[in-house]
Amino acid sequence: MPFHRLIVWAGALWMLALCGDVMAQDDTTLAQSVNGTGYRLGQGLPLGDTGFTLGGYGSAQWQTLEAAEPRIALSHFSLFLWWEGNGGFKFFSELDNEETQNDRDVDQDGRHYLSVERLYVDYSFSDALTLRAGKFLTPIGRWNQVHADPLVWTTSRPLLTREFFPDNATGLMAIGVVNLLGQPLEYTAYLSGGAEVRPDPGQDPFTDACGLRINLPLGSNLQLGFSAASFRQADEVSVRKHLAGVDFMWTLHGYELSGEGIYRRAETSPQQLVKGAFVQGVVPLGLHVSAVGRLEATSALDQNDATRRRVLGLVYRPDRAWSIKFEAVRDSGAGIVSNGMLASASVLF
Amino acid sequence: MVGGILALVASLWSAQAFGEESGIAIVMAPNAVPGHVNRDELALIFKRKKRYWESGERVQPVNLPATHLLRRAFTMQVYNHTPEELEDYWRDQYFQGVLPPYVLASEEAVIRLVSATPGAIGYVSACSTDHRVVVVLRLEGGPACGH
Repeated sequence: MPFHRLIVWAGALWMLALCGDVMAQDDTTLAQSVNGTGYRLGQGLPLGDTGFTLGGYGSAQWQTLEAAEPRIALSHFSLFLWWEGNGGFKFFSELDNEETQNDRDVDQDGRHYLSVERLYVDYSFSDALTLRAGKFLTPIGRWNQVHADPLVWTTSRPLLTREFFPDNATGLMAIGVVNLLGQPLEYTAYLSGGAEVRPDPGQDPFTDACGLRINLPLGSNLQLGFSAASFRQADEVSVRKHLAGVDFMWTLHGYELSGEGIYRRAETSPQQLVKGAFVQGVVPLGLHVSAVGRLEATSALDQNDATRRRVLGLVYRPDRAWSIKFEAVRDSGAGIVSNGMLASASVLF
Repeated sequence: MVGGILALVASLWSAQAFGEESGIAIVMAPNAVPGHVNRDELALIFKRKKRYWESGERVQPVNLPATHLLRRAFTMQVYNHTPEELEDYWRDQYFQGVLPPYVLASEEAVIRLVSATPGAIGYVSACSTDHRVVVVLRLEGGPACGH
């Protein structure tokens, strides 16, 4: 694994950071000049007084992995369109011209497709209860709900967020914030009957699912999350799976420590027991550059060994809207092995 | 000696009598005041987690620019974070179709908008408040008046 390349990339990144500081001064001018239109990069474009807002993100990815040709691809070009009036209704949609990250039923030429990532209508009765109907991101753990490239610290996704459950569900959801012993507890409960709108060809979609997630802030720096779900998937519709997960995130002055753990068992197939966890740390280095490291482990009862992944990278993130990432990935064990380097540039617009 | 003590007493009295105020005043329109607003509710309001008053009316929080000294003091008081440290939060919220509170350029603009907008809530220096708004909560800190 060419870890020495990381040093070369680090130097290049540092140069970019220096250039970026100069560019940031121009960005201020740019932001001011376009303020008259109501647009700022990373905050969407309000469409007049209609209540509609248009936004999105794009990302390009470069990867060189063992046993694969180096490749550059536009991994995502995603458009958000949402409407919110003064009443309780809200509409949200996300269309994504994406390159699927999973290998199921796809070949190298068939990875790009137009995905309906999210398409739903909300009605808010109060802060404690909003009902959502449509297609939404599966609320298991923290990563899956903010998995877009500009929002996360690495180009690669943690294995457990890709392999243990589908990204999306179509159905009904209840969302709210309630007071628990003086703390604002956020909950999400959902029910899906399958019938996925434009399912990702690389994923095994739900045929039915129900679940609950709660998120509890503990002070201003720490959040704890718990997820539980029961579901069946299209590939093995007779097998019901039960999943439990825990996650946390701690942040302070640019430092970040987060992690997720998942345990999933199959009701009628004991050998399908899988579990996994990751922990990720972020350390600010200055000049808008942060170092990121992640350790992952997943294991399945029907495999003899666990899969372990180590990710080490640098991220240049000058503001809310855009970022450049470089990382080295090293896998070991029984699962999918993808040692190599990844890089990406992404912008939230 | 006696003169000095008298001068000290006089200065303390005048400060009390003329109500020299300091701190950050959380303000709303006089005819749109909820029962109370506490610090926890304020934290939820300016993160757009609390979106409705008890009357069912939409909460309309109003911010000052991120570089404004009062905004920085307010954010530190309420969240123990700088506005820059909340950027990650707002990036995540944007992905869910939730935008940060509306930003106005000055405290006077905040008072004007809050006094004229049902459900609006903002913050100004305590010494900037006047009859157009009522103070629903007072926080410590903030730049000295005139800054």
